[in-house]
Amino acid sequence: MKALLFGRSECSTVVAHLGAYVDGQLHDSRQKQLEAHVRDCPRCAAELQRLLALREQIRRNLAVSLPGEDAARFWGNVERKIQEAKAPEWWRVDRLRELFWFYPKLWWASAAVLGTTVLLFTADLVLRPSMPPPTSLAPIDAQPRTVVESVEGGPNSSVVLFSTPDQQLKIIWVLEREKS
Amino acid sequence: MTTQRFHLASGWRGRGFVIVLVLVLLPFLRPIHLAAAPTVTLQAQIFLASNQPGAAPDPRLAGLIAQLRKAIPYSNFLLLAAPSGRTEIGKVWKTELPGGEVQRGRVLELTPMAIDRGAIQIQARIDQAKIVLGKSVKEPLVNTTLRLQSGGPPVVIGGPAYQNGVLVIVISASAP
Repeated sequence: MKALLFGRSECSTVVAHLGAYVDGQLHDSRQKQLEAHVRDCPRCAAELQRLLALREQIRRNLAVSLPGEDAARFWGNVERKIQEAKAPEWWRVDRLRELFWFYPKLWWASAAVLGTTVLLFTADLVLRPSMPPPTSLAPIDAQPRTVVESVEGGPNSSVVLFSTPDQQLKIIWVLEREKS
Repeated sequence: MTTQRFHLASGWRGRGFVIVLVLVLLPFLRPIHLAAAPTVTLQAQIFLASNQPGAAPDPRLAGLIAQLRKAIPYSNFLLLAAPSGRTEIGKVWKTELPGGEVQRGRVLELTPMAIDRGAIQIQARIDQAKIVLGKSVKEPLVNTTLRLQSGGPPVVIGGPAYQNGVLVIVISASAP
């Protein structure tokens, strides 16, 4: 059932860990998760059987006898390959997919974060009221108003604030004091 | 080996998933201007208002002059200059105004203070130099804080004397 829900991406994660499972290198919880998946997934079950059969075949048929120098060179190459192989970085996609499979609740957390992010970006677009195209001499009724927040004259001037009869133009009138 | 083939195929599917996710989110990502401060375009149309007969005004200004005539009791409005410029929030934009005791002593300063949803807060002041005890001293004529809608109706500052009339300055602003 889980294989149907999560699709082939879950199978690829399981298949990638079958080798470790066969070698008994998985943690108990992950081992149980893998076994539960294999029980439900014929494809992965067949892959596990193939792996087990292959291991048995190698054990039975393979007899390697190397001279001393060749054996040393062979094991040297094996150790070098092991050193070169690095653990996948946490940010790699296959590593991320493993995380999601082993911790299913991450799906819900990720969906919640993604949904919140999309909402935050789009809420401003949806809630902001649309403004009419700006023109300096647009029809009077459509224009938002100008606001004079504060106004003061100078030591030798005073000011009067008024507007046009239609309230569309705010006018600040400066009255200079007469020179004495 | 079978395991290796599965691993390669799943790697490509993972990359496809990330690419699809980025394409879905891309329309919702807003451009972020990290370094550039917002700029405001300012314009000051400087008129000489008087009752002296003069040439017919520019037809493009007919609407504005008609509105001015409703409140300012002068018959003739002559456009002297229409300087404009761009400046960043918090920075001053200056332009000279004609008249005053001292030549080039009248200055209009406009400072955009903030932009909020299309409304631009601007501090506007007119300073005038005058001779006091033989020295040129600058004093303010008017100091005001305005809130203009970007591309919306202007504000008018008028009254400083010039020649046979008064100056009428029409200030407008717009922000991208």
